[in-house]
Amino acid sequence: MLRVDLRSAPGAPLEFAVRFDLPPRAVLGLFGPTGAGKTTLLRAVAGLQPVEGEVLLDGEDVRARSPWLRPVGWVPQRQGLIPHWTPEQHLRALGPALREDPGDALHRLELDELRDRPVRRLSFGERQRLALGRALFTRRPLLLLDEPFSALDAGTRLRMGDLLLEEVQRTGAVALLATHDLYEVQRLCSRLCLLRRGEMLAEGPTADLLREPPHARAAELLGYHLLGDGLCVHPAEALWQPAAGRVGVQGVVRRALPRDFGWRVELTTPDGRAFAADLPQGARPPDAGERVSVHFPERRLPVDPLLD
Amino acid sequence: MSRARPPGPRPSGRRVLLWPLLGIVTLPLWALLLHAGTTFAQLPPGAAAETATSASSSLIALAITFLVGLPLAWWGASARAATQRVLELLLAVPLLMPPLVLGLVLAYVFGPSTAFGTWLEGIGLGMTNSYLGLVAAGFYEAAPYFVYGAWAAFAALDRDILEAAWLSGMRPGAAFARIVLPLAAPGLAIASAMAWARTIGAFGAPIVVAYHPTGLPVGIWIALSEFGLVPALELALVLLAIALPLPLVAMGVGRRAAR
Repeated sequence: MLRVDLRSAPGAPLEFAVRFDLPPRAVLGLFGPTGAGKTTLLRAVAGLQPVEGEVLLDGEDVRARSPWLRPVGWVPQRQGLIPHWTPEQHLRALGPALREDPGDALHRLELDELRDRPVRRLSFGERQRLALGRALFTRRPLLLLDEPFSALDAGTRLRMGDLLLEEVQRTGAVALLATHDLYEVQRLCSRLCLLRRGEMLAEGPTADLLREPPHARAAELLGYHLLGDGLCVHPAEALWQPAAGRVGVQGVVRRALPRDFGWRVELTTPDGRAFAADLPQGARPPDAGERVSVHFPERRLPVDPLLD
Repeated sequence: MSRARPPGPRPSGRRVLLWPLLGIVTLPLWALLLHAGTTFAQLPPGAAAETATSASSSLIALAITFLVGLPLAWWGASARAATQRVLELLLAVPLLMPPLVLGLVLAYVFGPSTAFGTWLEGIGLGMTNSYLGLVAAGFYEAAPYFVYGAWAAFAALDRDILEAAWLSGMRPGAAFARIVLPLAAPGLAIASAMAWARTIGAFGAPIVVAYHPTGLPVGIWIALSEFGLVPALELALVLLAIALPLPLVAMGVGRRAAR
């Protein structure tokens, strides 16, 4: 069980306050725009940044220990690898803390053929895999991962995500995963923490937050468009003809972009607000400049003026 | 087989203009080589002893500088901003002090004027006109240069690497030896080269605090006043010859360590 209750120290450049509890095997996505405080929060939990509060893992304050004794698997955004060491050296340097044969670990990270190549000659994505492995294969109970998949291609991203889930399930660890990628959140994170300028906008089960965001600002982060009077619409929920329980939104088509599911049509309301609506595969997208009416579930959410 | 030129724009013909600039900067070297003659026939008496004194005392001073300066530089690079400002200020004082003044200060502190100097003399560690004084003078001239150089080398390290190593379970001592030192090696080599240049060429402080045993810089001054310019330049060439190899080796080792 992980309890995080942290506030920024007085005078800190970014003020923040977060509080959440996580059960074992939970992966919490830290989601928010650049500057939201994801990295700051991870560094604070790791004890690398002076903050007030506590990080209790099974009742013990993680940050009270010396850094080399903290039960933390750490992947910083820039990996923190030693440029003149090889992947194998990085894993062997973990000593008895490494709970996997180095050869097997390198194989699972898809780095077998690069085991003797200095890190400075690895690509950014290869370094990310190595940094992930260094954190995962020590089987520490708390994993702190700062955008660990950002430079991976789609296929490798899927496999490394699976590796993370597999290890979390196997060891019962708790993971905090900072990411910009909503698909990554949906796929990997059992819980979600929405951050904006250091404030925790919402925290809860990922599926619940995605389906029913608690307020307009949270919804906006999750890909909803805010159309005034608290009306929040999501492109995936668009219908192109009227239906019961739905509200029609008038818009002028700006452009239609091909996507894996069909088309994403970008529109502008008469009062100048941008929104988007999805069209399934096989449908003909409207032309740019065309006036259309799109119908969304009538979801009106509170807009907290304090958050603006 | 010719080596491939690295990619990038072709060197412009205007680069030729840089050669005279290089000539201006390296003028003392060429003047020394051309003017000092081709034989050591006119070397003043005692040159061998002065060379041995300078080389050995400078090596010892450099070793002490390294041992004392390395932890200080690491402290400076990893301290809080307020502490850093205090350290910068304290280290700037000896750096800005003219070597002659530094010699006067050392002669005062370690000489018979103070109880400390008298006590040192009493236990056989007298610092004035002694080999020990020569080492101390070399150390005090070189130390601030080394500390500033090493500090800059440590400060340039990526902090993420160290934090990740600690959180992977590596203790600070091991991380310093296995990560910090190799990564900072090129910068430390330059800092050592600067410190070596300061200590082997130290004149202002030694002439006050340790005229005897005579090292090469003081020996050059004596040769100039007693035998004239040519023997003094011959001796200067000897100084250059024993001063040059160590920085070259240090920089080569530094480059290799970080590779």
